[in-house]
Amino acid sequence: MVWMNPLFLKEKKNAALVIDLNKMFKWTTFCCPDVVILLRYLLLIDEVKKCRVSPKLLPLCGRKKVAEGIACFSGLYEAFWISNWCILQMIVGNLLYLPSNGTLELYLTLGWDMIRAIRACKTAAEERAVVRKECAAIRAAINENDQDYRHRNLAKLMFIHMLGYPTHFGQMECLKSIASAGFPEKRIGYLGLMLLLDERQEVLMLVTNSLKQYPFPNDLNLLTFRDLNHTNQYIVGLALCALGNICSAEMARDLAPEVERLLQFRDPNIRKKAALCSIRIIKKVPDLAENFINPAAALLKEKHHGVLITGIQLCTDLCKVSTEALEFFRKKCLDSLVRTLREVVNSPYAPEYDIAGITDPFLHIRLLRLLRVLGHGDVDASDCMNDILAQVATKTESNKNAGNAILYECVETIMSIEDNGGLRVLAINILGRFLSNRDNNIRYVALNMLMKAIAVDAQAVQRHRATILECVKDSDASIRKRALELVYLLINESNVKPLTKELIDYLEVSDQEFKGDLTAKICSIVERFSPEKIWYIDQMLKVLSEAGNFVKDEVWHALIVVISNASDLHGYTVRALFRAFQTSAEQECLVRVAVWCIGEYGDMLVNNVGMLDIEDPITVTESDAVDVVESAIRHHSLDLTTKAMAMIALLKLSSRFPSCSKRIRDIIIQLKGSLVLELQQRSIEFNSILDKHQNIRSALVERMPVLDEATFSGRRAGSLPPTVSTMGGTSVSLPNGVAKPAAAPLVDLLDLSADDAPAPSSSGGDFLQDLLGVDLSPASVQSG
Amino acid sequence: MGIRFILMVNKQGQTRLAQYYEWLTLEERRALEGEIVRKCLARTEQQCSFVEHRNYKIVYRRYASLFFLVGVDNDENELAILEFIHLLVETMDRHFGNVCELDIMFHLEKAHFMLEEMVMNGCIVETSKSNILSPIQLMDKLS
Repeated sequence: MVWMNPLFLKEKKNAALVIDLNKMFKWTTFCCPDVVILLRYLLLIDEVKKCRVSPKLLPLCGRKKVAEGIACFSGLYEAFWISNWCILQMIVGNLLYLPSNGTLELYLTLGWDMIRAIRACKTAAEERAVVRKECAAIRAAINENDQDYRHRNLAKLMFIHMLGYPTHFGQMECLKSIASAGFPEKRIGYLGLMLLLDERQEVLMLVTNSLKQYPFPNDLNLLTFRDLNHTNQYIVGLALCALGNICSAEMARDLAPEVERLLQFRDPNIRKKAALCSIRIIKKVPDLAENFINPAAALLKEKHHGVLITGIQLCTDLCKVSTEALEFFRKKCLDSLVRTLREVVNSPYAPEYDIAGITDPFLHIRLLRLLRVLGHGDVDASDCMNDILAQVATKTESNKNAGNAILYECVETIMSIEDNGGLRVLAINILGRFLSNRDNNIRYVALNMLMKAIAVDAQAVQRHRATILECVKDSDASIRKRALELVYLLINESNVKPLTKELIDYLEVSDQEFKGDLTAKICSIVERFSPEKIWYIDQMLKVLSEAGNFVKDEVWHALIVVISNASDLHGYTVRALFRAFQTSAEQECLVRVAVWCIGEYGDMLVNNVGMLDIEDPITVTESDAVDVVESAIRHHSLDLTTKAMAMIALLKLSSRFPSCSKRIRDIIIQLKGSLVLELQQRSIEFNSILDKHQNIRSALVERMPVLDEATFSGRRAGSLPPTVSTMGGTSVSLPNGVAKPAAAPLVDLLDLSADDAPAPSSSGGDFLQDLLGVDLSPASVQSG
Repeated sequence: MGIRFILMVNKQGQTRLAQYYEWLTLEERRALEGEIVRKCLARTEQQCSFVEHRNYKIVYRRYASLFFLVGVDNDENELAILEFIHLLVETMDRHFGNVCELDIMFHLEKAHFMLEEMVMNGCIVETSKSNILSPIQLMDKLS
């Protein structure tokens, strides 16, 4: 009945609808005995204000219904014409023999006043004020030990808790409620316990201790114990449910025998809850597992789906904590499990459990999962389930979600159990079908599964490479992420070049938030599989030009180490970087590598040293090279590390390019006015090298010795995550012959204090101390 | 354990029901709800129903103005959880008659009772709608 839906009503706020509502009211008096439902909805929508509701509609349909109906009315009373309200009160007074203000109280009893007030709040501050007021009222009621409103207060507390406000003061009310005799009180008490209380022992202890001042059983364990032995099975169910959700190790030990007994209780609804409760117990106290093996095995023979599904879960968890259980189930229960699965698969239409033509897919899935645990690492057990797995894989309908869920689980089981070629082909084919599905959910799980399939049959997965690569470019972030991880696993020496090309091409068009992940993966691939240095350098330069702002420090550090080691490629690299800089000057890491290389190999750039056949000739003057470095210093968006590196490059170029030394000095002198302490200090220091220490300058700015790759990679592996500072710290010992010509003042020349503070050292002393202590990156560090 | 939490959130991102099966402090829960709501509500209908967040996955489904978000372990069957959400909604539908956000707000404890019959400690207990609802209906008759 569409008109019953308040959302529907709300969407069409107009006068016509209100009139319709009135018509409907007349109609409902004849047709719909359950006026209360309509009343409830009327309360919830605002249109009701305009709508004249006849109190005659309150028929005698049970005390509770009438009460709820009145509650609805009382919520509306402001909106009512006063005459109507009076009539209502009269009727109510006659019906329930309540004093005239009793109606309002009934309304309050349901706790709806607060929810309405909270809904009406426009801002978070208003909401906080309402909650504060309510909490104060509830506290007052708790202090007065008000029992009539306990139920309502707990319901309110749950709502407040859900909104994210502290409700610890209500925890004891839950225990009091549990301790009372009636089922409704117990039920709300246990619910409150599960929501408001937690398993942390100290809180439970606190509560139990403070309860001792009250004249009823003062221990949660005792309370639960009593309820587990209650004659009313619903109360037993409540206690089991609470225990299963929150019990601590101590409670688990105390109450395990009761739960074990309840696994054989006559009512299946209790048995299923006891089974899940046992899972909690064995997880908290694994020593208790062996007590549960036999009762759990007995549950597998049941017919009731609830018991079966929980029993299977219990067995699965038992296998996880105890190898003894695993062996036992493998020997004793495997056949019956296979039989059960066959029965479920072939069962005729069962309306209660049917989902899209399949009987209880949840049970299917749990069964397949337990079979997976039993079959893993055991050839005989795996053989035993081959037939049924083949049947599930071939017969399950794959046009609905439920069927696909089963197929998905089945594929995972086939992948995990011991080798059976035929089944695996079947499984990989199912995944292939999934992968070409139009539904994104199905594609997602297919990618997920293929990752596991790689370990089993990498060749089969490679066949889907093109499709997977397409998924990397999907518009859906979840799918992209999965696909990228899969591609990463698929790459090997033979396909690295084309796949890397695809990924780098995609880097250009991918959206910003994905670039970080993608860049990290490409860099890792290039480092792991690069067949030759020139390819490595080429790819890294492409990545740096496209996404230089996303590249991690250790990646470009590694690149510099590689460049330094490839002596025949120095000229080629510095020229390529020069070109890349022209188009991508805003990519931080590219700029860093470029200024480092220009500082080191600037002369090769200008003189076209070491030209390779594949290169286009390029004419670069000395001043062009200085332009690059200068623009790095002047660029507003580049950070301190980059600028500091650029300054060192300038210092180096001053001796490489004598013709530009005047210009370089000017740039350095200008930086004396920099607001950044680090740059200012460097400017002063470098300037005095240029001015007063001509004798040591040439030695200071010599080309760096080749960086030791082994040391670098060892350091990288040793320190996770590899930070700049650790590398800077250790590189002090690098013998680069620079410190020698300097006398005593230069002793600390390469003191590379590790932190990133703008002032490199606080030790004071001569101006040359910490002269080159850039401590911002190993590249600049080592360029000293 | 499987299911770590079940959340119902409206279009505005307000939590309407929250059930956690692992202990989190209030601050952690607020932060978590904020993060995942922001992530999930921003997605379009064509995108898949799974979002990876921290070390687990969120399976979500939207019904009218309500989002049902279920946090699960990484090895959980996502498609089955999707089916589970639907079962939950159908069960609530059967009880409330065309369930909506307001039903859940004003009958929070009843929604919790239903959930309690379906999930315990993060595992599915019962998948038959009439079995789930019978204790609740019995209760309603008594009072």
